[in-house]
Amino acid sequence: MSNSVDLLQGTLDLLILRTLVPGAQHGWGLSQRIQQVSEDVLRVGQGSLYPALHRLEEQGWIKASWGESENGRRAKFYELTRAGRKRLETETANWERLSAAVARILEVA
Amino acid sequence: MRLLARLRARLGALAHAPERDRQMDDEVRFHLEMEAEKNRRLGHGPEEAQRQARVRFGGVDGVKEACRDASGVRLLQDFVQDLHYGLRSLRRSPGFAAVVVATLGLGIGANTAMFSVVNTVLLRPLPYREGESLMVLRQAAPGAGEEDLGLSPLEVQDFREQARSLDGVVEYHSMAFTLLGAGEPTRVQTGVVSWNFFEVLGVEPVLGRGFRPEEERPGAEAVLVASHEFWQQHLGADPGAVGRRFNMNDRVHTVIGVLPPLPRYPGEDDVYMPTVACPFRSRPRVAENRESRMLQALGLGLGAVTALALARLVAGLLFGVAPTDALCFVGSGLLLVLVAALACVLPARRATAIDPQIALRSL
Repeated sequence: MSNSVDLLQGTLDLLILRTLVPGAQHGWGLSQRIQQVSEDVLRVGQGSLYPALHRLEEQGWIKASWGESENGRRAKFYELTRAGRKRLETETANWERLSAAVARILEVA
Repeated sequence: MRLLARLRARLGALAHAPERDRQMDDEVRFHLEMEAEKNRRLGHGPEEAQRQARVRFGGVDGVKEACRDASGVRLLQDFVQDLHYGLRSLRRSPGFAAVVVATLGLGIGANTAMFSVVNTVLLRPLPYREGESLMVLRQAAPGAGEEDLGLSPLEVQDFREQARSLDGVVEYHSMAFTLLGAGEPTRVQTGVVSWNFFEVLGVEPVLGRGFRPEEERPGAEAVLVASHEFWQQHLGADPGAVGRRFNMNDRVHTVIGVLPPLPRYPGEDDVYMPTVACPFRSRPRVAENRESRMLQALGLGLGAVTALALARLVAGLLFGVAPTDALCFVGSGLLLVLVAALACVLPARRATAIDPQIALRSL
């Protein structure tokens, strides 16, 4: 917990969308994967993960369906919609522009 | 387009709110189970594993609330809840509810009635050709306190000849005569009119024809045009009614036409006859006397009249109280204010009568 970085809402959305690209995933799986890939830097609290998932669903970027998890339990799976994929592209481009700008300022200043 | 989809999603979420709550519970439970399992694999005992899982998760209700917020149903749900609460409170005090409803009903009803009058009288023109340019000529003697003196036949003639802004001036007055020959003797309200009365109003008979100029000459044969209602009720809607003869005022009258169903204006007349057929009007005392005023005159004033002026006359004629009367508007406005005030004050008084302690306790 002490290592975790507070994520902006928009950034969390971006991460979720990206993590869903390989395929559908349930909420717990998402949080684990993000933690893994970021090498433990980012730990998404449940307080932000599930509201984010509901928000993305309401906006139509992802859609949910109930299915069976790896160990046979009933779980709610999320997957990207076509609009979601487009959104991911634009948001990734924005993020790259933003972080490049921040890096430049940090270098120069 | 997306807005529509989102709105649909929200409404769907609202409708399925209990189902979605259950789903959220399931999802949270799944997460906790997986987390607990992970903790067990890391070496914690089963109870410790579950506890840790719950701790890491945080407040379940808080998360669920945040989810509900995110799915945008909060506003709607709150509104629906408030609605239920309001209805419940009303049900608990029916007497009070009745008073408020009655007050509102009275106010709304009064204003609706008023608007209906205004609407039909002011806003909808008469269903006659160029109804907006139809004028009623009236003579008034305000000094003598007389608003409607009427006109004598000679005066109508004057108007007809001298008023350049009036296209057609026709006479009208109404008397009750007795009609013989249609079963029992019937009292008929008769409109006595100039020959071009129907033309000026733009009314075409559905059977037969209207009057001709020669029928208004003294000594002409007496003819009748029947109203639609009279034709249906007393002539049995006879398609061959034209040509039937009746006896009125010791003269034989022949039916020459039947009118379409129209609001009967200016009066509710059963039949119409030309001016010369009216025994009263034909008396020399009336026909030649400028002072003998029993007539209304109708004129078609093309391009000379605004709709409002016409409406005032017509309104005055029909109802005796002009709806543009300032008093009416002020009165109606005051009534609305009073009603609104009552509808607000009564509940407010009730609310202040509740002891705050009791109010809080019952929450």
